[in-house]
Amino acid sequence: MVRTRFDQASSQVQWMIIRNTSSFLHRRKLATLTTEPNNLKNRNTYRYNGLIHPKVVGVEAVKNGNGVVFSTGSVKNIKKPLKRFHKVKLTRDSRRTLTSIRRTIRKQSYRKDLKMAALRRASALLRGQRLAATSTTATTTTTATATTAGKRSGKGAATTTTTSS
Amino acid sequence: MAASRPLVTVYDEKGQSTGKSVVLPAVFRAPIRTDIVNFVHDQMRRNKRQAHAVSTKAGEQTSAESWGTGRAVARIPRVRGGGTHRSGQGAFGNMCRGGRMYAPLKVWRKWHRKINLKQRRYALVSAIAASGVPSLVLAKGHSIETVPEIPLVLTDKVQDIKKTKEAVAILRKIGAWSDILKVYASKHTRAGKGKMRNRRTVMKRGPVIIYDKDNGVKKAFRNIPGVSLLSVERLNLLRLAPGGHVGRFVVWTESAFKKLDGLYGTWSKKSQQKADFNLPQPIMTNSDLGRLLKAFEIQSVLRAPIKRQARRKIKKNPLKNISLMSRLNPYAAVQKRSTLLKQLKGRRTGTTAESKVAARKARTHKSIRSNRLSGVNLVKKTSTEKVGTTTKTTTVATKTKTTVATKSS
Repeated sequence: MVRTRFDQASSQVQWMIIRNTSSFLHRRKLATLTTEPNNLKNRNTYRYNGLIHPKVVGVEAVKNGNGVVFSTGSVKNIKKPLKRFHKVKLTRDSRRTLTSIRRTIRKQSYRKDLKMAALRRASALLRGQRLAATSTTATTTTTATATTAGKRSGKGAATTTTTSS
Repeated sequence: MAASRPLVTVYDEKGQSTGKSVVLPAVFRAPIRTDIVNFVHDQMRRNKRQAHAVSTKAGEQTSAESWGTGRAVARIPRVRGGGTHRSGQGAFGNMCRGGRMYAPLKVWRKWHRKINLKQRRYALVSAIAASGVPSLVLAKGHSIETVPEIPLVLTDKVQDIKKTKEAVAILRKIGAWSDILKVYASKHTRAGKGKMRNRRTVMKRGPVIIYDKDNGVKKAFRNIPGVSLLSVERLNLLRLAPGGHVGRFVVWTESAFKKLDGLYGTWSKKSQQKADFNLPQPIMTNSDLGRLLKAFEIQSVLRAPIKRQARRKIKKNPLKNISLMSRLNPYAAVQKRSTLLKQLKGRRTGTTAESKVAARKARTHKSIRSNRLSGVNLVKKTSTEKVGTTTKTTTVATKTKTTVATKSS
């Protein structure tokens, strides 16, 4: 009984292993969260998990800058971590960023169930960046503001060091 | 059968792909049974224990005897004699100072565990299979984002390196160095007495290098923190699933990778090196629930989905709710109306015979007409006016309303 079709355990099997034991799991009194990359809500559920599925959507903040990195998982290269993710830096205004994300997901029909989650995450990240920018201009000092928007708490705080107005 | 298994490219020490590729050994398709791995790991971990015990004489080296009753002291055995603090003190009991402990530890405790051969092999096979699934390796905590492929197979040249410097260079080139950096970052002093028992530092586990022939690999890699070395012939579950959790980052050499089929067998062929062993059968050959549910064989036997949700119906009382009542008994509406009218009929409304006559007189053609027309603009007003008087006239007011509407339309 060789598993002829799949070259690795199916996402269901992987979920059964990961759901309770994972280095990314954070079980807390209020909620169970995960810090794995490409989990749009940092929720420990099958649907939102960022490791298991061949098709995966990730939205992260650009380090030391503005904008958002939108990553999609390549189905062909599941076994090749170097090529696995196709990352796009979206650094224009938020409208363009969000439409880009929305269209990619919708037109390719790529994990449509994650569309709203991706948009919300991008929106929250961008908002945080905007607020950080305005707060630094207001104080006219270069501060590394660690704004802990709820969505950003899992990752390293985005630091906006310089503002060029 | 070989065609259905994918090819794994071999990489050289510079991290570039050589042209060669190897068929994925069947071990990597074995069922991943974390429960078996956990159990076997737990049992195996006990096998390195060294016996410890408490001295048999501890706490027993007195000739204490109980004083018995009647002496206003507890009946615990007390030390004989006098002239020292110790005399008269309690002895022997686990509660006594200087007494023997409860259940003194004995050397003949069962320290080691026998594990069934089949279970041991099953666990090992599961651990190897899990090392080939990138998500499980990531979940274990290894940083493999920069590794070219999982499972990672390097040329046999790796087995010949002699210098740690070269080993580090190789790890850097194949993208495994970030995992080692994690190990460096995780170094800290152990909590507990192990500190003073030669187990001072603790750190994470990094990649494990599995080789076929040791021409220097072991010595080259062994000083790099976190790295483990294993020979294919002697794979160790404690190294492949450290902590009892599957998914360690494994770096194979080409000849080691090729030996796996011979060692563990494919399902169609038994193992050549292990007596009477073949890979364990999975319980589900196809575990992809998504595909199963969409498959024709299942869909064709299902009934149509019930999409309409039956929501909770609030039960209303027909005795209070006239529309419900008339649904049940259409005549009820009629009954109610007639009783209402009867009630109104008998009521003293303040209309005497004279007022009736006067009202009839007032109901001239002109007045009616003016009322009707006044209803065009002053609908509300007329209704309030009418409401003040008899109920009969309220109905009239509504009548004018409707007539006005028809007129305007």
